[in-house]
Amino acid sequence: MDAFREPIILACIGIYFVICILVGIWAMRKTHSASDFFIAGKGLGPVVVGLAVFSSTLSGFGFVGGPGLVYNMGMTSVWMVIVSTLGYAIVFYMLAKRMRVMAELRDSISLPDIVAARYSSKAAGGWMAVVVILGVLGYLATQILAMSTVLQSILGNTEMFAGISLITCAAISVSVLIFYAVTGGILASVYTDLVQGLIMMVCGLLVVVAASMAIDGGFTAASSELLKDDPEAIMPFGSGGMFAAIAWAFMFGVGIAGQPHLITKLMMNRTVKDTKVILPLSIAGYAVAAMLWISVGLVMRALVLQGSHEPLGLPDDAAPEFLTAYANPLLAGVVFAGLFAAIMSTADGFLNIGAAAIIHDLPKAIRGKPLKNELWWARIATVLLCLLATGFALYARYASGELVALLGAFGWGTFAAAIFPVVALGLNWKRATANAAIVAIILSLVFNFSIKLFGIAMPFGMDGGFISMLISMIVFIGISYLEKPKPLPKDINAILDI
Amino acid sequence: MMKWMFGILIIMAITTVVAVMGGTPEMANGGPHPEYSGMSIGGDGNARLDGLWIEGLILYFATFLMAPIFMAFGVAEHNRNKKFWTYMGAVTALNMVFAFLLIYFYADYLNTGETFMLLGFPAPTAMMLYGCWGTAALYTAIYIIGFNSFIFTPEDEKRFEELIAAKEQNAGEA
Repeated sequence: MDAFREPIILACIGIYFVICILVGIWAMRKTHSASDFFIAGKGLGPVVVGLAVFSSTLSGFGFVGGPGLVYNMGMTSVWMVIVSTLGYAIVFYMLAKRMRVMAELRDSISLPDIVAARYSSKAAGGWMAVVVILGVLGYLATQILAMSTVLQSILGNTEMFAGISLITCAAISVSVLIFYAVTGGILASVYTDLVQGLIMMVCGLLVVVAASMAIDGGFTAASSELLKDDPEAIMPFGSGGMFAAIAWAFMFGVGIAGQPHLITKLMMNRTVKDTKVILPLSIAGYAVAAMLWISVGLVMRALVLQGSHEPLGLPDDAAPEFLTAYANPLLAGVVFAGLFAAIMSTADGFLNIGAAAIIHDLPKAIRGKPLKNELWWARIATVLLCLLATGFALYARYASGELVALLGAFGWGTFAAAIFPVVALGLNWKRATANAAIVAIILSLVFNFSIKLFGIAMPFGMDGGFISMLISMIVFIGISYLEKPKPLPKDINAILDI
Repeated sequence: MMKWMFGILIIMAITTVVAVMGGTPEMANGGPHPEYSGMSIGGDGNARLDGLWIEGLILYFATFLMAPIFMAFGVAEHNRNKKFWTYMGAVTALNMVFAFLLIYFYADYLNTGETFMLLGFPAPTAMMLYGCWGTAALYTAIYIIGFNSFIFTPEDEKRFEELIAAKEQNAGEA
């Protein structure tokens, strides 16, 4: 079977691409309005939303960067996964009901819509749209670059495509993404997420088994190997230390309620009651898929320490090397398809919220009314946004190191700091004010940009996003307390009471 | 409740500042592995936490405590009844027990240099993977079991339907 490794991997990826295209064609027939395009007409079933929520959370980072971090620093990064059970619960307790009710009562179709309605402030909605657009460009560009690099490494290993350029790979992968995202909007996005989520779960389960079999004695032997070499690496805080681990735990556990591509999906389910099915599905899906993150990194570090595997050139090679050396070709094919699934499911979510911010939220904030024929403009904006992000990604790769740093600033931490207080706290606290929301958003942007631009190192290896979240929340609550509370519109007041 | 949250956030911020002002011990966030360039090591666990245990523990337990507080904050005040607090309190206590055991076994390892393996991992790490991760899933169980009692009660649903009806009536009149 190993003789057919490359054709099998290519076939798996080809089948996956075809499924995405077919879903796009199917979804196009069901998309008739901007509401259909952006929030699927608030008519999705719980299983679809549940798998879409988890698959859009776990991007390519979870499949490549995650194992790489475990290989590099042991258990430190595992805190990002450990807090998932707390994080998803926080999202649903704080937002699932209110986002869905707001979407219904105020006909909101985007996060900035919700913010503008909650604070009765076009400015707050406009600033939220700015965060979303800047964040989408950064996040999307990173995902597109990852997608193209992975495709290049797979195709480059075959005789037929040896020497294929990154630009060609970007063109192939972006074409598939654009096709289904433009034709079917969020409907195609969530149904491909459903397929992608299932693939990721299968990958997670199979890879854990493969990882435990790759080393004699399984995980106990792997842990013992790490314990012998550097005990801190396999101790709960990893070699990164207690403060770095806690910072990640807080930022990923609490900050998940500030990720726009995830929380906007809570506006798409049919009823509020569906959320009691969506929550356990999301957590179960994430937990199963994330097992790949922990097991591969751990086993690869142990194998290298044992001398059974050559040291890796880069920590991020942990997952690809594992698949090449220790996985059955069919499993490798499924996991590579799963990797594309993880990247694309995050990218399509960002495309959707980015297009909504451009053609719906900004015009509303500036002109006071949305554009005519929003559906047509939404499709145009999706194409342009994707092309712009691809341009950014390739420019950053070939020409500008600074741009890479800037794009990197729009990671999880920036969204968490800018969105968590304004949305998660604001939708549960009547006293929160529009000024507090605007200041918290601007402060988060300035802080995160400054850290990246000036290369400021945080103490104890703590992530800047954690510090930024603390500052942003304290400022948001503090300003709200200092200001005299304004009476809320009657319906918003009632929503916050439910 | 917001005042409690605000207070804990301020404590976390002050703790971080105090920790930073105390200086950074060598290897606080690890260093390069002497043999393998892609790996980092933590080195002496005792030395790198020297003088930082209290600050570390405050941030650690505050993080575990903030999560259920945020969850409770998301439940409407009139639905936070005795049953709700009992469930949340019980799960939080259980979660905290494992968070405490993690620290206990870790500190014990740092003091004695010995630990035991549990389901494939050293005891402190097993507490993290199976205890902290697993017990937090019980918050989801509360969400499901208590959905009609705390999250979206029949009264909430009725109120929601009234709001929808009012909105439709207003739209009709307009």
